[in-house]
Amino acid sequence: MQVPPATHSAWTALLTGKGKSEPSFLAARMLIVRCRMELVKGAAPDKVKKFATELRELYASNADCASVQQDLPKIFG
Amino acid sequence: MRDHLQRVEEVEKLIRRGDGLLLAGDEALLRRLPRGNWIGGTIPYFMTAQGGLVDHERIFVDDLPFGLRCDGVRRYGTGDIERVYSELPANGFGVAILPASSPVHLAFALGAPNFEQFALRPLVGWVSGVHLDDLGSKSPKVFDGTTGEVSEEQAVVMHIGLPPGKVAELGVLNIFRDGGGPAIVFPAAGFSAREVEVDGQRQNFAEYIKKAGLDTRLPLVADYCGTAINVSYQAIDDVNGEVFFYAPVFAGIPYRHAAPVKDFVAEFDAQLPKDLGHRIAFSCNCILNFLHSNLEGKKTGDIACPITFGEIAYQLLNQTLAYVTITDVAR
Repeated sequence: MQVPPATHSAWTALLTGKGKSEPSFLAARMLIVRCRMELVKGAAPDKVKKFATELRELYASNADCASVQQDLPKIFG
Repeated sequence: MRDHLQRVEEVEKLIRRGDGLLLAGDEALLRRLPRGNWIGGTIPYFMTAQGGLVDHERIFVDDLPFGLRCDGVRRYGTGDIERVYSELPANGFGVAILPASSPVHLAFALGAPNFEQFALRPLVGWVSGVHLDDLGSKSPKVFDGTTGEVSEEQAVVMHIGLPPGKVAELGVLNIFRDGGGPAIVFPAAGFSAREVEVDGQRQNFAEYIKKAGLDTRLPLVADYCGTAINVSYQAIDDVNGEVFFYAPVFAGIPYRHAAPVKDFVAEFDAQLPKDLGHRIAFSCNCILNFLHSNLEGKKTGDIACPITFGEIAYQLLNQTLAYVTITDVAR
């Protein structure tokens, strides 16, 4: 499955804990927790957009990993 | 299961052959090695085919398997450790070793999640140490085999290239789960804390630990989207009301005290994915697991690794097995 663009609402849902499921990709779990720590201080749209781009890039750069391929249909399917 | 412990003369042969090596052992042994494609760190504790043991005579050797290659070695101090992720090779990963309690160890532990390109590529590794009897008299060190440099100040990172069609993925195995007690939230990130919020009530953490009768051999556990991440207790200063940790706590994250573990080895084996040992290129496990669970002489599945003063899987971890597996590309 291709990695959807950063504008896809599922990235924001994942960042804010409102997604369909939690990721299994360890790097994503760690990055999301770091982002959530920042978002608690203030979830300005620009900040959310920046984190969504970062998270999307993380998945795109690791698209060959088994856990990434497992996550994508769960997050976007 | 391979025998990873080798004598200096055997390791020398591997170095002269040009192998890429990740080494762990006594400082005096590592100092005898010639230059080559290797990095190393000091530690005398190991999990081996014979079980957990302390060895001052042999070096623990991870000879890069699966067609992996050493693509160079970098050293970082506090001034440039923030580049550790952004400099990792595009088609590969990094193995880092940091000297325990050094400024770069502390800088990495506290800052890693905010470094540029954090977690974009896999970074696994460990914190070097000393025999516990030598705490205070010897210092943990790291070795850059490519230059012969020995350091107690810098981190050393081997860049490892993957062969075509292969992918590296990091994993952790943590037998600790939160014990269902109150949420403990820290007001600031750091390796120590005085005041905390326990279920929303502000109080002194040292006093709370005493009052609640917490067993501080068990870590604090935070839920990272389904992965349990530990922070281990180092010491409690009752006089000043301060609690010290082996890894930093982060502000705003709810931590809970871990549930007791009856049998570490049984629990570890139960959680260990089948045949994981055959896919692992490198792993490390924590000295606190070794000590608190009396792992000397005991085996943990088919995992052989150095026993370390801290583990790295993207960021610093405690009381956890961290590993990198090499598998075929998933698509």
